Amino acid sequence: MFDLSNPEIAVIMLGLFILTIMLGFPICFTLMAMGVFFGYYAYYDAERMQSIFDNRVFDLLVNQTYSVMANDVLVAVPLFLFMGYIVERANLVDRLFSTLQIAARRLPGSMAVAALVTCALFATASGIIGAVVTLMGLLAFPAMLKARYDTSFSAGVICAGGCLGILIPPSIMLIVYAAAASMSVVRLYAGAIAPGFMLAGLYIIYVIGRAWLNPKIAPPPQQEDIDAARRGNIVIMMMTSFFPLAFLILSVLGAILFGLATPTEAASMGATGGIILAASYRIGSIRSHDIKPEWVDNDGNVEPYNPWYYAIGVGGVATTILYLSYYLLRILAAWWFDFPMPTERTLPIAPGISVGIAFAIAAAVRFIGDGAPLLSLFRPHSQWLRPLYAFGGKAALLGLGFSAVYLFMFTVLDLNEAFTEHEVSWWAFDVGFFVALLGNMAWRGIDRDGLKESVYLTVRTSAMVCWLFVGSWTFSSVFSYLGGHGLIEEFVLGMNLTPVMFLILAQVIIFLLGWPLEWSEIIIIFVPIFLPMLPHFGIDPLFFGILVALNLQTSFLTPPMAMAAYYLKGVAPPHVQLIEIFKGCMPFLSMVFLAMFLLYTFPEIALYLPKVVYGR
Amino acid sequence: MDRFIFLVDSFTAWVGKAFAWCILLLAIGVAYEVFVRYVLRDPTSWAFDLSYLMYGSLFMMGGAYTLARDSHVRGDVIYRLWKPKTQARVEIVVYFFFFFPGILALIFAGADYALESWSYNYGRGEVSINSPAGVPISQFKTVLPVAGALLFLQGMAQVCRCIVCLKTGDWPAHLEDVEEMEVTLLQQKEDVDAAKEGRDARRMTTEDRG
Repeated sequence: MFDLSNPEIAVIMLGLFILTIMLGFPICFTLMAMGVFFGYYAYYDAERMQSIFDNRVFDLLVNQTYSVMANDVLVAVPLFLFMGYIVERANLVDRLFSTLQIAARRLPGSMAVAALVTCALFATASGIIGAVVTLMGLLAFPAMLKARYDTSFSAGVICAGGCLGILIPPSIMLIVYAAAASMSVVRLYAGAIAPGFMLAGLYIIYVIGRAWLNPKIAPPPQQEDIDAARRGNIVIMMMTSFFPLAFLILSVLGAILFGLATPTEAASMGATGGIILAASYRIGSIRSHDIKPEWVDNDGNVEPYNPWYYAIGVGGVATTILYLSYYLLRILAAWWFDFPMPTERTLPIAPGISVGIAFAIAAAVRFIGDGAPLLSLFRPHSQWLRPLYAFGGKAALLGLGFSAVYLFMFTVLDLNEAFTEHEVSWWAFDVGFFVALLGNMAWRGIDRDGLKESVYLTVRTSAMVCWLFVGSWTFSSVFSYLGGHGLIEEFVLGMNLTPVMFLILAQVIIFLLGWPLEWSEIIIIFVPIFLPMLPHFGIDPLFFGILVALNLQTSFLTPPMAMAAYYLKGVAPPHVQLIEIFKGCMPFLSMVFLAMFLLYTFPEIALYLPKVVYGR
Repeated sequence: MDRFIFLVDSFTAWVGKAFAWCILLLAIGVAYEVFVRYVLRDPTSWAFDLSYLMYGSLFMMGGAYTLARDSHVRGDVIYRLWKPKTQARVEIVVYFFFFFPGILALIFAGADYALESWSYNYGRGEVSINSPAGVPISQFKTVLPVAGALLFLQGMAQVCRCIVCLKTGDWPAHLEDVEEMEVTLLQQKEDVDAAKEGRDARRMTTEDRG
């Protein structure tokens, strides 16, 4: 038709795409349609045309879509999102903030430091910037203003702290980068740890330094506040708020870095751990009568429950605790005394025994009473929790019934010819009993609305990210088939840039893109354009990825699309001006640039840990 | 027309939410694999296949639900400045140029792909090559055209939405649904402020759409 070479068509394709982004249509579908249109032209082959559908672009589209669907790196995305939403909805923030505030009371600017650490920890666990900034904006910001902290200083602390979540691993952004750049997530995580903590450290140093130099913007806490706080036992407060969350993050991260689990496995452990954490917080709140569960009426009276079910519930929980302690001891013994782990592949005793132990304890509870010396260790210490055990006990009996039916089908009706030994096992009793017991207790204990909301939000956010991959991979394979990448590469190499200049150019472009676009679009669509050029300049893609991650911190803090600032403005008291928030963000922005400069000057900050752990 | 939008919205939302629970199976299934591998020394042969089957179906079937709630990411720097009528006018054109062709290609090519997969193993369907467990994956490949069809349906509802907006000058409301925490908190704050000042709560434009 027109006298254009293929690479020129590719450039038109890119230009048209950028133009249509501006129309504000969901980008993933634009990418997909563009890919199909231009791909139809690119793969047009007159000889194959039996009908208008004989074009390889359709195979390309389907194969790229399927490779996103079966991608083992991206599986971790919904899992980490899910973990984040669960943690976000577990009502941890206020406890975390008040604890840290007391713990940091001797530092200058103690509240700011506490807010920063809370933001960083919470954002790392949840990975959702908007939620962190709004929650802290409702909780910490008014408290800081009341303590006569400077408005823009406090605003900057909250905005900057909330954004750390996308940098410090386990972060979703780095997984997405790894998938887009086909790199190892594990190495990227190892590389991001030091720069992430460096940035957090720079923020804290800045906050302490500024508060020390100018105490007027961050007055020390009143004496009576300190005295009031001391009455609460600070160690216990730390144990119940700071450490569980930190432990969750560190165990997920540690499992990934030491190669014990793939990122997907670690993420699902994290999500399961998050559910357990949320359930135990809720059960803890029920225990201290802070939350009223549905089985307690308005006067605080507990619904009647069957004492037998209750006894079985206590027995089952006690047996579970005994088993867990047995395994803990075994692991500790293996760790310290080289005592061998069990070599046989199942539980240490015969099938059915553990159910028997549970029933024995239950009988003891029923006939002696749960206040007896040993038994009182396992019974619930709050009236409000007792029905929870009864629910568990009832479900456990039901589970036992199910496993009996299952075994009946296989052994009595003699179906086991068709199945392996593995599938017909007397362990069914134990599995049925304990899974039903713990599962039903967790189901009753967890905040079900919160769980439902987390599940629905997870599907929406992961569909957003992954459909973007579907569109982008189709688009970019057509783009490079037409020779677009080659042309851009030629153009950039023709500019005779030094590596430093190239790096600065790339980062400036990404910085500018961060104004109108979100990180997901930048990483999935635009960063892959730079990636093939990195070898020409001898830049490690890992190093480049960390620089990009640092850089994208700014996209949340710079006007006109500073989402963090807008979220804070939305929940802040009305007298707080947007311009004050921006002013407060500026010093933190310069800290980001300082961190990028440091990272550039000493690339070892990012590269040292991967080298030590993985040898390259 | 409102009724059609409502029906399609609730249908895709129902499908999306049903498949959303895959995340729980995914998390617990893979956590179980880690548990039996390290504690009982007895790894499963199906956990890896389970992980991507659950993840792929989750996000593909959630695509239409996400579109209905307007959660797909868009470059809305200019878009958000327009009046709703202009937004609808542009959007309706773009739907026909950049949405339906791509989705139709996905449906038809995907259907071929799925049918081919069902024809393997003498018509018993394809199984995964990742483990000897022989996890079937033909149904997983069928998700591809089905997700495309759901998106097509939702796309028609979105076009109807644009038409309603062109007529009335305002975007029709979405079904009540769970929102991101920041949106909920901002909304609450706005309502409280509005109640204080004694005026009606006025929603932000993006939230009307979200």
